[in-house]
Amino acid sequence: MKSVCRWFSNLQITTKLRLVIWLITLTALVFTGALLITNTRVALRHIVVERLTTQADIIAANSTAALSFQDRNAAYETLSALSVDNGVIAAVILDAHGELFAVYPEGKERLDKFATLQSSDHVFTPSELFIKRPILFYGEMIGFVGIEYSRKQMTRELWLSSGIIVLFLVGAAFSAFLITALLQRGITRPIQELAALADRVAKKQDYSIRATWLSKDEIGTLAKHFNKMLGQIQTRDKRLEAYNRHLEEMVTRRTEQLEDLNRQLEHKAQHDVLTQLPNRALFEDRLQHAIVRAERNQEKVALLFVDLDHFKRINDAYGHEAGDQVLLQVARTLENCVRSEDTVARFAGDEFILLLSGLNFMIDVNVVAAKIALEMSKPIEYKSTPLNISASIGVAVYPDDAANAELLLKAADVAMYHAKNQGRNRYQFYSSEMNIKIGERKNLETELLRAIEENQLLLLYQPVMDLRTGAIDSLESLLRWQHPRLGLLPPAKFLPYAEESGLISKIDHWMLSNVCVQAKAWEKQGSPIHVRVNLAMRDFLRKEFFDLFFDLLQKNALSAERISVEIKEHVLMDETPLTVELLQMLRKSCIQLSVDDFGTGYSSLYALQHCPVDFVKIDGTYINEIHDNEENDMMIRAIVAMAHSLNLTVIAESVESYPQLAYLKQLDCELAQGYLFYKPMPREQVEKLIL
Amino acid sequence: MANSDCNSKGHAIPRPVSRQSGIIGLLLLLVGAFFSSSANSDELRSKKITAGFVFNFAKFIEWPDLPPAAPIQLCVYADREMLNIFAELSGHRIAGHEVKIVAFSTKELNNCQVLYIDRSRQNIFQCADIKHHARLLSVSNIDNFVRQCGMIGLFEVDNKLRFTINLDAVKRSELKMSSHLLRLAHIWRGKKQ
Repeated sequence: MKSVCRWFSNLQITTKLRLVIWLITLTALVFTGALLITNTRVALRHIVVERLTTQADIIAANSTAALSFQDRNAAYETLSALSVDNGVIAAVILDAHGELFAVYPEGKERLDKFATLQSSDHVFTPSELFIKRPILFYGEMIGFVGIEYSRKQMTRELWLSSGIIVLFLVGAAFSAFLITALLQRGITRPIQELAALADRVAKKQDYSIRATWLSKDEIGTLAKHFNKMLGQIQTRDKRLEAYNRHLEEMVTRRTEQLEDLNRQLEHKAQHDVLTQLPNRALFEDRLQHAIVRAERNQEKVALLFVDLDHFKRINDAYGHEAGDQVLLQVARTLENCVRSEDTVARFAGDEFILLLSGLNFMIDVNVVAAKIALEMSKPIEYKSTPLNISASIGVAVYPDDAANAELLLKAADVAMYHAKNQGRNRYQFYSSEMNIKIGERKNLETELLRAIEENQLLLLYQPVMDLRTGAIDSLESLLRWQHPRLGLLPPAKFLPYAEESGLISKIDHWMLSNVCVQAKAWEKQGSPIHVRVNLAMRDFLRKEFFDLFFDLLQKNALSAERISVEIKEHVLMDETPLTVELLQMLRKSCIQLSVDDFGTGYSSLYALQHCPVDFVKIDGTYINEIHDNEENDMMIRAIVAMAHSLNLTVIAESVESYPQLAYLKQLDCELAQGYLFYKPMPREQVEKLIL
Repeated sequence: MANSDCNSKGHAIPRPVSRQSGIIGLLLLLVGAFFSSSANSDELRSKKITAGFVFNFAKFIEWPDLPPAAPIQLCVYADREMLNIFAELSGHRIAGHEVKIVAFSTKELNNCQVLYIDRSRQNIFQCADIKHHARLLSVSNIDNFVRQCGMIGLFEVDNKLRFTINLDAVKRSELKMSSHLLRLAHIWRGKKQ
């Protein structure tokens, strides 16, 4: 039963509908047929009984005379009229006593059957029908008529009628079949069309198709709503498509932007942000190529390593903006100095490098280097202030100086350092001897770093004498490096390297904090002596350093008067608004300021006048030459006179002899230091003097 | 009313005891009785059958203008024995009409519906007596009765009683005769004169 149900549910709707209609029709027809045949059978029986009854009654009516007058022949004749009825087997006339009066045809009568029947009755046996009717005459029953009827005839008639019925039913079934086939299309076709439409929509994803069958029945409603739904889907689709297109456009735009960004990044990865020159990576790449090409073409490649002199000072003094401007200007200048096929790259910070390829003569390189050196020495204008700048240039040539790119770079670098050491603002060709010095320098830098970390630095103190009283006025702190291998090194041996490598800031910091701690310690021990500290001043001109300085004073609860700072003469020379401001800040906080090595640089009297300076220290070279020549003595006299006229205290250093002392005293020089009085000495020794 | 008058005037024949049984039954009964009791039972049986026939003829005849309550007067012209046999039929009803048996007399002939003339009275009968009675059914077993003037003539064939009807006489009369009767009868259509 389940499988039948499943089979049925899987059928096509047409088949289903047809099947249902046919089944119903067939059932109805079968029942109708059965009913009709049964009815026919009953009716047939009734009709036969009626007919025979009538016939019997006619016989009865026609037999009255024969019975009345005992005329058996006449009775026989009357009965013989039944011979026209094929179904009649036999007919009898009985008298009032039931005795046989007449029979037709003779020999077939069944009197026993008639005897059992009532006067007016009939009975069906399997094969026959017996009918008995009374013969009435003037209300008197004068006899009976009996008819024995064969049911064969009836059966035949029934078969005939049934046959006709079946024929009609078959006709009806056929008509139903035809009508179903015709009408069912009216139901199933729209459904099939709708299904086909849905199928087409699903397969083609085409939502513009519409159902055309729009009848007013439920299927029409379904089609209408289906159309509406399709419409909605189409609208939604369009919107989605538009949205997709928008998204795609956005993606395309974003992709373009990304590609653009990528290009920019690539450019950035290969170029310096500030100057837009190729960076180190791109340069190294180009160098590789240039070397390969040079090797193939038997040519030379020259590297010019350009390092700006004192660039950090510009940065510190005028700010990074100024530094950037300088770098930009330098970049342009360098580009202008070479051919367009040469590469100018910014290597790092203030380092530039030039790659000249396809060269045949060293003279070419010389020309370019000289030109660069010349161009670089020209001052650069920044906000209408001319900034003096120069460059140290190291030149190395492939394949003369190095076998590969890395070594060539190193060689140029070495040559550049050599140029720097030679006194800057010059170019220097590489030579193999340079490598050794470079090695030393590298080592020193490493060792210096370790020295700060491992506390190999130490401070010596040299008393500064008051010439008027002959007492110790103050102590100058002097830096020394207790080198584990080279022994005690003076600042001149390592400070330049420290300055170049940037370690100088750390050293300044170290010195300052040590001096503060020491000064406080002495103060606590009852000797509040004034300590002078030499600072490189590179970082000193930064505000952060001042903050640090004041922090140290505060931390040690040390009065600012205890410390005075000695700065090199050139700091004053690079007088900038920021420098002046910072120096004034220093002065306001009661920290005294000395100008060291006065007379060696191009000191500006103007600067001396405007800067908040307290002391002027005459350079040792002047003191050493006292009495050696008149000009020197005049110079000392002038310096002292000038200092005095500016209300500055004069310190003489490197005083080694009494004549020198006498001369200084004669000039009213206030303070002096030197071997004549005390050598620089360690803390323990100096404490013996002051405590 | 005429009938009742007739009854009182004619010879009344006593009614039979059983009126329920049918005429045929009665006849057969009588036949049975004669077979067992009488030596000339054949003759008696024949007479009884004849009486039964005459009675039964009346059933197939329609008299015009016979009032519903009027009796059918059966006038018998026969010997005593025959008359007695007829008398047993008296009181029976045919179609609602009571049957009255009256011994024949010429005076009474106008009131008679059926006239039976037995062969034994052959000599006395004259055709003129009945000729003008258009509403009288005349029956007789006299030979050639229908040829003379009678309507129904009785005769025996193979020991069975049969009858001839004079169709001319019936047509001439005002009587209506049932076709059933005609079907059983020998028909005599009169002389071709």
